[in-house]
Amino acid sequence: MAVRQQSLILPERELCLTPEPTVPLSQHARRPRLWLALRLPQLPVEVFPAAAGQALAVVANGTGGRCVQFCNLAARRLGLRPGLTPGAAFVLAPDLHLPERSPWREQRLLQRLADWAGQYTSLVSLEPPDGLLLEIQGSLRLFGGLGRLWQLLEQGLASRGHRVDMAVAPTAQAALWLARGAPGSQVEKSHMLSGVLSRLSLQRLNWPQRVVKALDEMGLRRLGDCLRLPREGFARRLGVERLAELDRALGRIPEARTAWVPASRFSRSVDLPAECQDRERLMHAIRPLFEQLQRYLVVRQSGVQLVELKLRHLRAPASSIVLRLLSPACRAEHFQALLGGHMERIELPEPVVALTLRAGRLLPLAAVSGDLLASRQRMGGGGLSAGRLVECLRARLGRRAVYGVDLQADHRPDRAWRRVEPVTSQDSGYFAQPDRPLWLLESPTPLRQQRGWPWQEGRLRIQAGPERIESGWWDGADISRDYYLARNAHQQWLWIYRERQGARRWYLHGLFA
Amino acid sequence: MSMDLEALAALPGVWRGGETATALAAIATGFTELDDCLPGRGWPVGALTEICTQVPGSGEVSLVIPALAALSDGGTDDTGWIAWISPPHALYPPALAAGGVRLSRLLMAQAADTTDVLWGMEQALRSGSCRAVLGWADKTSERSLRRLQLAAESTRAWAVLYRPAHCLEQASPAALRLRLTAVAEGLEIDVRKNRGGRPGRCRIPQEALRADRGRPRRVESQIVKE
Repeated sequence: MAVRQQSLILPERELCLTPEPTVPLSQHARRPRLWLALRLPQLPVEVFPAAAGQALAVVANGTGGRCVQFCNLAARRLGLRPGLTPGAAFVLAPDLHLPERSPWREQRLLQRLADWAGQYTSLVSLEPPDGLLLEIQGSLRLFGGLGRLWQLLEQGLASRGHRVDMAVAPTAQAALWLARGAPGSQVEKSHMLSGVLSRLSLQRLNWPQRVVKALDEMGLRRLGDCLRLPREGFARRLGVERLAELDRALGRIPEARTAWVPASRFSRSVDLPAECQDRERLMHAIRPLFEQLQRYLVVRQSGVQLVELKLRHLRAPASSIVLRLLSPACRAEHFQALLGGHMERIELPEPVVALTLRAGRLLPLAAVSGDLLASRQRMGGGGLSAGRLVECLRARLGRRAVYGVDLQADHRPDRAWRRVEPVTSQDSGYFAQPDRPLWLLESPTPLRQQRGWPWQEGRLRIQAGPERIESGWWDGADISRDYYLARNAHQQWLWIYRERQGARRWYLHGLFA
Repeated sequence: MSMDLEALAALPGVWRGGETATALAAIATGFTELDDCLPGRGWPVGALTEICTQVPGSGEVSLVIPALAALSDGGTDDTGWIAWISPPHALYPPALAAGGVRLSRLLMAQAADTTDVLWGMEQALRSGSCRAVLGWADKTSERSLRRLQLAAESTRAWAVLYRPAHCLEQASPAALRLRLTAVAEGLEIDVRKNRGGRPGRCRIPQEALRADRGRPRRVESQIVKE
């Protein structure tokens, strides 16, 4: 026979399967969950930018042909309603902005909001077309209770220009239904759930029209009416799926939700309101992008070492600026200051129409503790760390122009050292050799010769030597030279050598300086 | 009424011009001949030093190596950096290492022109993370030199600007101005301006100047014969 109402009150079960199988389920299973559902009823309108007071409506193909589906407040004030034909809409509002509905944009906005909501909870789930689910049980304590968290979410979304309906329930399905049918409901205890759900109107659930119509013909108006039906009959008439939905809403059977995994790279674009070639104004326009990047990074407690800014032009290929940082960074001011150095030098072939900011791989950010007494800052005035100094120099002088040095185990003078990444390098055990000049020429310069003697504004006087260096036969760059210390007419000390093979010419290779 | 000069100097409240009221922070140059000429008995810290040469490569780099070795050898990572901005030829790390300079504390930068050199030096000084900043520039305005001097004063770094000798005719706010000439016996130093001291001359013998002087070479492996 039918399972009746008393079976509704069941112990709490695992309602959500997070996509991390490594977490032992047994630990999760006992933890009660609390779901907060967000529904954005005006999402299709909100994806389009509109100035304040600008009437905006979205059209799409409905059952009655192309018609207005959503309109914003300004449009409603002018008398627009969903269902109007585009022609009728323009009669009511001549300067109406009437874009085609864009599911793609809605999806993107929903994902952006999921990213944003990630600061309040570790588990966000997308509920297309217009909803988000947040698991908030674990966040209540941190944010000071449900009331406070609710307020934070509401204010945050309002400041981003979204109208939102919210509801809280111990199961995800119930939260979604309540956000749709009875926004503002807050059900924290599962034994109160069936009572609240019973009052929901069936018209407000997003069940197919056919099902709602069938229920209506049976005289069932509210969810409570359905709950009193025998299970078998309900399943046979309205489909097993509907029954399963009811069971999930009441927490009788577990429910799987896919956690939203935020993109691992940051990438944002912004269209400039007008073409712009003025560097100052460009810097100003980039600022919000950097701030978004900072928020993105702070939420993830990460930093980036590579940031690329693309400046798009109308016809010419996009100009690109790449910021490379020595250590992972996340502050907008830091990026902005570095960009200033690059901006001064970049040549813009045409005015810029759009900006794209892309960040490289996310890296864990080392926690930096502020100095209580700020003694370091006082010492340096500006108080840049060595890493910042390197970045600052590189921004203006070029990446390759700033480097550190280290020794290399090789007897050939030009290979006895190498360039390394500054600041982060460590001393290797060195192979210091005697009698090496402080300045080594980029490439040896041939010296004039007279009667076999090296000559540079007069005959060079050999002071010491020879030191024979013969090495490198294994890699094709072998040398065979006799090095001498010599002095010239200016009393400079020179490091010169004579080839041991071929023409036996003299070369200048270094200055002792 | 005549008074003995010595007796006059012994009076309280009388002091000689050479005795500066404030002790100047300095790093020993490593050359006693030069230390004797300088008021703080060393390179002035928190000030600009100008070293001018007729011909580049007369020994101006060897002159600063002992002080840099001392600066870089703080032991901890907290010792600060030594920045070289735009030397005319690449500095040769094996020779620096032989002079006792820790290579991991060095920062090399190549700038395209004098403006960038001065900018780079100022950035390095103002960053507060450098102990010494050395740069090469020729055409500089007095204003840019003053900026450098101020930047050096704002930190505890030693700023060195290498310039050609004809620049000595130009006025400069630097605390110390030297003119170097290589001579047969070594290096002749003409102290042209010496804040807190007096101009003078000294000569450093060639043997003292050698970069790897006195530094025991590290022996990587030793073969012991039985």
